[in-house]
Amino acid sequence: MNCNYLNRGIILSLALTFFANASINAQNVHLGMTKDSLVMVFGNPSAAGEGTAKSDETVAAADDDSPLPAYYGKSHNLNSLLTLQLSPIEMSYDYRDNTLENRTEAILICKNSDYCDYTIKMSNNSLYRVHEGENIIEGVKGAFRYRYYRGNTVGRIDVKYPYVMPVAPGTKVRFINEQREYHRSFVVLADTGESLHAMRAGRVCLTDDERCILVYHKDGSFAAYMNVEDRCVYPGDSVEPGDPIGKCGAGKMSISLFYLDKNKINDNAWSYTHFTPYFRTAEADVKLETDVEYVSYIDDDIITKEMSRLRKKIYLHGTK
Amino acid sequence: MKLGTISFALILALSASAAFSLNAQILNVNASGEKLPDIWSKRFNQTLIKEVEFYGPLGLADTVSVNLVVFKDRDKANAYLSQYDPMIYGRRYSGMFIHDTRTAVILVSNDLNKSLGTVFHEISHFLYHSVLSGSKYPSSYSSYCLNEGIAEYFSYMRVKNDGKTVQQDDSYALNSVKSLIEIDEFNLDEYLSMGQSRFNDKSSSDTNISYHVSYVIVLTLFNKLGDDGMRNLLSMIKNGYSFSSAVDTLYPGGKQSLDQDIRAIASVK
Repeated sequence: MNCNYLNRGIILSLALTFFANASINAQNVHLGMTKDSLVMVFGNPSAAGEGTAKSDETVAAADDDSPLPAYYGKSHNLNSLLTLQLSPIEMSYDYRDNTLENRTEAILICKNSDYCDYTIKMSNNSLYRVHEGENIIEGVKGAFRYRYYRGNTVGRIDVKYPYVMPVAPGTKVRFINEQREYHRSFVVLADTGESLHAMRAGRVCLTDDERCILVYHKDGSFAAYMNVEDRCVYPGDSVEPGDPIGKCGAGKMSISLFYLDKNKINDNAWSYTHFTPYFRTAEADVKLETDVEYVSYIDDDIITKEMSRLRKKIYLHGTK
Repeated sequence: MKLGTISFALILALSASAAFSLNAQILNVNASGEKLPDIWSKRFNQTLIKEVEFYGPLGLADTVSVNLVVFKDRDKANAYLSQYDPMIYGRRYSGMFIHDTRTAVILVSNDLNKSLGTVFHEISHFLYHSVLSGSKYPSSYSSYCLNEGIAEYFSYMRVKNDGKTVQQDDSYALNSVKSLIEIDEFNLDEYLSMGQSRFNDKSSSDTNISYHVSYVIVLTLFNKLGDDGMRNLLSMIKNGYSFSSAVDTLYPGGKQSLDQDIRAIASVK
């Protein structure tokens, strides 16, 4: 089984017709600690058009004659869910002691107008969780820049948490991989106009696309519902598992479950991990498998799973 | 689209041992298209020599030639590739290797290091197929993950001044695998026996995950087996073993041990 090793020298010969021309775009310059010179690097780094995105292309490509099927059609919506045209984060700063000689440490005042947490990553790589509303970040020294990401990295995601299937209870449904998305998503094979339901309790977040609903869950994960028609929930609304949120739109509706991943927070790459959900069925909680027919199922246990004790009591009393 | 033809050849590097060897290994890289940045030149030579050193003993012909076509503009790259694959317009790629014409096509991005890594990736495919052509099993059938993993391994390789190598800028790949383990979705067996179609499907719809996993598998194999051991593994595949059975035979402790070592490597990062 041993290889036959030859004592060889190696010559690389390169036929050249070129050399030169490419340059690296400097991303951000050194910044002074004044309001004017604070640089706002918006949104998720994968977003195009901000001057900071590098690439979300594949590292390399198919290595064979038989091509992958190319997928056409509108669905590339995940990027738009994670980036916003309008900044939901407003930053300003102040000093504890405003005398000139003591202006060494600043307080950042960070206002989050979205309905989910964000994570601020400072240029020294420290991370801050920013809740809805006003947040204070203390002890900021010297020049800095920052970048923010939708989601938080401190929550502990239970990927086996049971979800309700996104169609009305009793409806037969199948899922297939959403090949039009670059990040793990599933097409819900349901009829156009079929009622669409929340898979888990959470709050609806800001999005730019009317046909996309993004719900932030208690544990820091998100559910994205893409290609939705006739939505009936809007940013700021709270939803419970099984609540109707709209209808399945034409062009195949799809879902994706994901969270901001502390392992992958990266200025130049996708910082989220997408996972395959467990769905509640009449028999058990099962991990979603593609091309398997399920019957959507919901029960009091899953509806009340994340309710406070008082709300749970009221809910269960009301259902008797 | 017609590209400029080769204007001249230049011997860029000659390893010290070559001067004393009657059996020199020559890799011709016929480059065309966009001009490559000067800063690539040193790393280009160093890493390609390492690639040839690795694949050479596996039966690489004394002189092999590969074409390298470089684009900066995706539209132009698509137009060029569409003659081989009419569906190219819907695909994401930063590089591609065309077997029929032995051509590595590179789409240069602003991240020059990454683009250079793509060159090494694609040329590794050329060399892999050169040494495994004629094997009992088509390499793309039984060892697709190995092929891609080695290509990724060379794409992250840096050669230091003393000739030793290190893997750099691979933290995203390692951390992606770490996350995959954390969400309980890492399945070594699945990757060891994964075919091209499944590999590409998974990668294109799950953030390149199959490239990352393949890299970490191969990194772990290189760490434990070394270059010689990896060549033995490729020889086994050339002789008809599947990737999975070759790993199980050659890796100390078998696949189970490899699985444990991968989990350890990923969790360190």
